[in-house]
Amino acid sequence: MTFQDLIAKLTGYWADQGAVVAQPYDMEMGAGTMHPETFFRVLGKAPWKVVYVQPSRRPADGRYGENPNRLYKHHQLQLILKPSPQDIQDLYLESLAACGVDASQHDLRFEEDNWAAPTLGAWGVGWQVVLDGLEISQFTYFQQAGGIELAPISVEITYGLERLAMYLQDVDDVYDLTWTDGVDYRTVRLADEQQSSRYAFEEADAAALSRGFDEAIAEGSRLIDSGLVLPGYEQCLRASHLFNLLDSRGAVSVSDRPRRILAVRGLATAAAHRYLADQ
Amino acid sequence: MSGRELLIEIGCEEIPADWVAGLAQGFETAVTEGLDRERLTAETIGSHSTARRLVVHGAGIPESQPDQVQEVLGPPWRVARDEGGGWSRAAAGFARRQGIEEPDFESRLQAVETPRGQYLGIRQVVPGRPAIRILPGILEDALRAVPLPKAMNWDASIGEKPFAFARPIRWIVALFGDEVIPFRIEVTGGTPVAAGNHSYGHRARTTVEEERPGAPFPVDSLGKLVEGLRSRYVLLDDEERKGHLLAAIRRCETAAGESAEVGTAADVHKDLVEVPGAVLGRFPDEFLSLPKEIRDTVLVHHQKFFPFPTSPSFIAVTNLPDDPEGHVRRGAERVVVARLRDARFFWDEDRKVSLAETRPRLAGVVFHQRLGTFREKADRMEELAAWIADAAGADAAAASQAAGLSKCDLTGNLVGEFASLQGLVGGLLLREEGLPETVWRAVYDHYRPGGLDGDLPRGPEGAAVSLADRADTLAGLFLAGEEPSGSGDPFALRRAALSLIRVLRDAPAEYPGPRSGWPSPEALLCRALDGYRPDDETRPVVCRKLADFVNDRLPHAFVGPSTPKGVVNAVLATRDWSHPVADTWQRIVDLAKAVGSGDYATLAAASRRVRRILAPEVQEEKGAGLDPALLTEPAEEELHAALERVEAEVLRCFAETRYFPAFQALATLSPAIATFFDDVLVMAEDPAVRANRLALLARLDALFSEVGDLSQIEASAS
Repeated sequence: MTFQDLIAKLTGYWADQGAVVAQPYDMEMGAGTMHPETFFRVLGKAPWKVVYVQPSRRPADGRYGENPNRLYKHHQLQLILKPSPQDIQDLYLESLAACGVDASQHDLRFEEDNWAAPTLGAWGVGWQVVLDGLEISQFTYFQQAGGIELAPISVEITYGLERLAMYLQDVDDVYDLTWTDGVDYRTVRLADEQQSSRYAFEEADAAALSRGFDEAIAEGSRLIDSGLVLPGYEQCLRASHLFNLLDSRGAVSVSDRPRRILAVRGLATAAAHRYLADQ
Repeated sequence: MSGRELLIEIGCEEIPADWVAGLAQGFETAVTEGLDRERLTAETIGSHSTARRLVVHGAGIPESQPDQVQEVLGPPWRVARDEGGGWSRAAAGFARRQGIEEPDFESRLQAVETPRGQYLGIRQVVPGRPAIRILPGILEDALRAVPLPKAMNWDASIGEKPFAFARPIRWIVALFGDEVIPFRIEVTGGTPVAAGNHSYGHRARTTVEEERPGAPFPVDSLGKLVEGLRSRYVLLDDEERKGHLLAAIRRCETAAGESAEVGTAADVHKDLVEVPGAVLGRFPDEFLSLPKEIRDTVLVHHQKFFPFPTSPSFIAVTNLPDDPEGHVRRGAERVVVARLRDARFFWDEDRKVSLAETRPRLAGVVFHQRLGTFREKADRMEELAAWIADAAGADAAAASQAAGLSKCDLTGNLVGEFASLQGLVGGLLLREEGLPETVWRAVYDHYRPGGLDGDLPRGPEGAAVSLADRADTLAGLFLAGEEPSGSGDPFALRRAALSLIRVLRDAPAEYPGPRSGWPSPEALLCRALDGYRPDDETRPVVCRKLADFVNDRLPHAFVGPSTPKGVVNAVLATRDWSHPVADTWQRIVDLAKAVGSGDYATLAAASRRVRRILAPEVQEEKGAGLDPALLTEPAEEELHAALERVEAEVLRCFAETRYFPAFQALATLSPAIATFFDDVLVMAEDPAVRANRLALLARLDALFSEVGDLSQIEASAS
């Protein structure tokens, strides 16, 4: 199964379950959880089902395209179901079956793995799903987001697409993945990995990033106060990514770190509260 | 066996493996208590569990509660009769309120004795309720009483009240005999989870023909459940599951030609899987050049696989009994190779510069907000470790060098990736660099021991670094006002203190060198505190807090199977953190041995008696000193002679720190003491004789006090 077939298969499967197929958010972020389709939709009472792919940037994981398993930018397929269906584990296993995983021949486990994102004021309990020793998904029942206790409880399932595809295609190097027939992952992505790693580790202008961070926090806070929750939250996303860049550049001093994390968390929490108040 | 069977199975999404046993036990206890509380006590009760189910089974449970006789009290008996001897208005009123009418008064109303006097009352029989009506409440209470390490909200409620649990509950079997117990958990926006008589086996496999894997199957008893699950790839019995797991591991070991390093992990692994299997995986020989500690971290901590001592292989436990196509093995091997390749990348990166060159980077790692960075900590430890090693007759230069480098691996790639390898990686890197064994091993070992148990550092230099690290942390965090309070101990200072005491306790016996060279906790911690340059006002305050903290922990480090509490307390009556720990420990061990072989009961009793006699008000009477000429009775002469002999012996042995013979000698005083108290009146009429006898006892007491407080010893025997 090619990389793009895998995306189409999983997206189609969840679309058949009634999920909205959303698009990747057009801003840098570290994980699909930060997409407003997750961050805001898990708040409040309204039911929601959504699935989307989110390219996720982790500057510190950049390896100049030289490591077969680690990427500056990888792809997450993110699913939110609110409330969580009672047969969600079975639905999830069926989604793997749809991709060709025969559970009777593979060791599939739900191993405890709780999740917390301090910058989002969010945490949940759940598992990492392990397929023959390989962690292929994160399965989380959200308990809190934006510092707010959640009811109903949403389930979030995040598929690590590169990992799952490497497993299905039986390749040891991510760059050897077949994206589509005749085109490999290397052709599509390698230059991005090389250049982004160089940027993050060597070229990023720490002073400019730091100024950008402070501007984003100030702007975001002003926008949320004036009722523009989504544009305000976008500044939170921006600040979060700038923080990650600063970090990979080794430009976050230890005393600076908690201050910046608190600032991002403050914006996320304010956006969440305002969003709920406006519902 | 009369009565009915109770079968409860709580079907869950995967419960964390290391909670399973505790949750099942807690559930069984709660069900048992609920049954007892409702007078429905079971003749037998037991529990089983896997990651997906908690099962409680009871037998011999009565159909219904026994009837109960209840007393209802009315007015005091003295106002129950009127002047004519009939029932008073008060009595009649009470009776009618209880539904009793006139002709029945005489048969139903009676006098009841209470602690407050005699009252008018009635006895009525409350009929027991049928168990099936009570069991839903017992089940609810029991589910709510299961102790959860962390509760999860899943939109559930029982009887309108929110209900959190370990993970969502997806099915419930609840049978009382062949009757389903009416019980349900509501789920907001979903279907209620109602008790029934169907269970579920393995999700992906079944041996039952024409049955879809994971389909429900009916159960009517524990036996049917066990067999039904067995034919659907679930072994309910813990021991059976563990047995299968160990057998599967043995098969892999046979294939590998070597025993795997399993340890006690099988106990948790058996709860990660419902039907255990194991596959033997291999990785390329090239990774054997990676230090084994690093390989094992990848295999054990990340993958929960079992490594082998030498073979480039591992065992993966599976939730399938077999792997006919080899899918599981190949998948596991691929993950392991990817992880090992990552680890080797980090290992190679970390070796590109010497560890010493990375030391300035410690300036970027905060030790504590108010105490600066690890760079400063390393500087302080360097000085402290040299001082300890010097005193202990170890290689001070090596200890100092190791202490200075001990934290450098914190800034490296490997420790960033595998935090549990801290210390080990630094040691391994230094070994690679060709540094002397005393240095690299001291770095490697410096997080040892992890408390009262666990291995000590292998050499005295490692012990010096370990002590310097713990002492610096304790002194610093107490200075910063971070001492533990109640259950809060975020910096694990209690464990740090126990580790420190443990090293000081065992080091002199463990390592060569002068046995008396290791510092007391006081000397060590105060010197560590001085490394922070506290001001004159703060220093004594922090020292006092550290003293209390360490003294509180000393008994923990000493009480053991062969060193009972009474003996420990006897010695600690006169010993604290200001004394070398190993010496205190030696006294305790030897005293415990002497107590086991000599007559210490007499000594302990004598000690208490002497203390009483020498109460402060008579102290002044004992006069200037003992005058042998004034000893008149044979028993006091005998005690004096024995005391002269034993005192000399005890003091000589103590001077040579040979405590056991001293304590043995002390025990030989017992007969003389016993005779003395039998035959001699201490408080004699003649003031001079009396003063002399008190002086004799004071001398005895002084000798006892060399040992400690002997009166504590008997307390340990009782």
